[in-house]
Amino acid sequence: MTVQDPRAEQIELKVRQPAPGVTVLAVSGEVDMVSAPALREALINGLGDGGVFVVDMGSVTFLGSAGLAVLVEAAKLAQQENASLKVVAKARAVTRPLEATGLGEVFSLHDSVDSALA
Amino acid sequence: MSSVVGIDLDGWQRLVDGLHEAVFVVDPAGVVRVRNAAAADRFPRLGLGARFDVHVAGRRHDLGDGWSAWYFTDSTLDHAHLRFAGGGSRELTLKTIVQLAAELLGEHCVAVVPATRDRLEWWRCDGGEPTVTRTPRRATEISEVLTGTSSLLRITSLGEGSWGVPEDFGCALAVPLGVGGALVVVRKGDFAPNDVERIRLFGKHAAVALESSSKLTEQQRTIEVLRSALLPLPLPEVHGVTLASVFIPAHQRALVGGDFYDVHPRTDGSATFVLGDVCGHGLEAAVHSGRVRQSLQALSLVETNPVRLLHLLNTSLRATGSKLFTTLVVGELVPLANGGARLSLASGGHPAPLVLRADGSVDEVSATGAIVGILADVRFSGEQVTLAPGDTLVLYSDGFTEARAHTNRTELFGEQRLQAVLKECKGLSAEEIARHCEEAVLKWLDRDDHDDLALLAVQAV
Repeated sequence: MTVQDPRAEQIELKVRQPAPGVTVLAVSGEVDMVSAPALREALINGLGDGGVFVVDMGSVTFLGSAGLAVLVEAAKLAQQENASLKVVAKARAVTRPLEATGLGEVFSLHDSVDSALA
Repeated sequence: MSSVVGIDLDGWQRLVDGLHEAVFVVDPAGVVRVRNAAAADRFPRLGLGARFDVHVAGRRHDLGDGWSAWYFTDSTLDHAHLRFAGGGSRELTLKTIVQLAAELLGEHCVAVVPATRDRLEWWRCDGGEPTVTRTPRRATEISEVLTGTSSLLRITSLGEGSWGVPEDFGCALAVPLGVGGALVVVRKGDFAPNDVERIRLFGKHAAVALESSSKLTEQQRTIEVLRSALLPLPLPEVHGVTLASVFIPAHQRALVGGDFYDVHPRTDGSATFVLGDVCGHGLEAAVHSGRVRQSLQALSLVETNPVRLLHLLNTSLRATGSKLFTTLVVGELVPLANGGARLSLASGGHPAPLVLRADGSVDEVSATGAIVGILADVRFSGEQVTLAPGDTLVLYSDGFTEARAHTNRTELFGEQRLQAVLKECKGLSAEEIARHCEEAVLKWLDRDDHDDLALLAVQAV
């Protein structure tokens, strides 16, 4: 399923379920103050189901503070819902802001979706 | 009455007298030449020969040669209600109330409402521009209505008070106008039974309008107080340095945002300074930035070391349970005896500060640390910087580096471009550097949407 949010043309969100209880949200494009609400909506909807939730940010070209705020909120929600939140981040556009803000240690970071699900 | 230029006034009078609608016949000069009983009842001020001037909606019928007939159904009070529903300040609503009441219900109208410091406000209208006076709280003639013990009072003599009504008035009716207020309608003649009901109904409409406008005025006052409390304070004078800043909220109409900066000088000549960014937008972020600023100001009284200060701030903010996090740079400034200043800096997940040296080169200060306010286990590292005279430390929010080009929304202003802009500032004062950076980013944005923009320049002298 592809979710195109009219508020955020620069972001594309694809949700798939490769196995029962496992959800992968592939995010591509730029996550900033305009597009972050679309990501937030997708994360909140997905995390409500519990299980393993992988946010694949491999194709994210920009991650701003609004995007970081959404990830922080998602981490808190995952704790409440007993869900396992994993983040795939290998591009510098994602790893740099995570490291600069000390959030790299908060999330379970992985190089690929396969390693996140291993 | 007879006829005037082909208009049979007597005929018109006979025709309109039988109508339930209020009808006026108005000549080309705008003067009332015919009115029926319903018109006299509903618009007592508009007698024959009076200038036709009403503020309620009516139907106009062209009679030719500049003459016109105006029809008003008995929904005039509904029109009044619509006028009230337009909203506005308390003052504007009170003006509208007395203006409409004088027009629709009597020759004179006085609204008596409670004011501050145990006083009364007297809003008066006799068909012209409403006026107001404030007096000590005394209005014995209408005290029963003001206190709510009576819902209708017929008055034949007005004693003390700021009435502004002719002494030869015939009768006055007072009805409640919200809590502690009264609407007094004055006529030369007496009131018919249906007048009383219309005045009551008008009073109810007016009271609702007054209550909502008073709430609106109070809310606006509260917002104004909050807004001024959340705005950055004017920069103080700090020994050994000159300071300048940029502050442009994302939502210009709100005039407040999540970005903030502060400088707190101490008696020993040193100072604590900070520039930060609450992650969020609008009022929620602005209120949280106020909380961060207050906490920092209090904590800096007991701790001057920036790293320890950030640890204390993190603990303090986590205790509030807010979901918002903050990125910031905190610094301690100590002026040096021979000019210049020594700075200790610590960063909580904030973009790296830049130093523009007097020779035009730009250094990045690599202080690192976690965001503040939500994580239990955080680490911050300190960094020392010495500013020689003419060197300038520049702290900025990510609104600068993440500003999107108006020509290409995928292109960011970025750190390299900001450094290049700073290199152009060689030899400029702190104020000129701040303005140059502001102009550069605003030109880049060209009025497009943007995040909060904040910058603090600290130049050693």
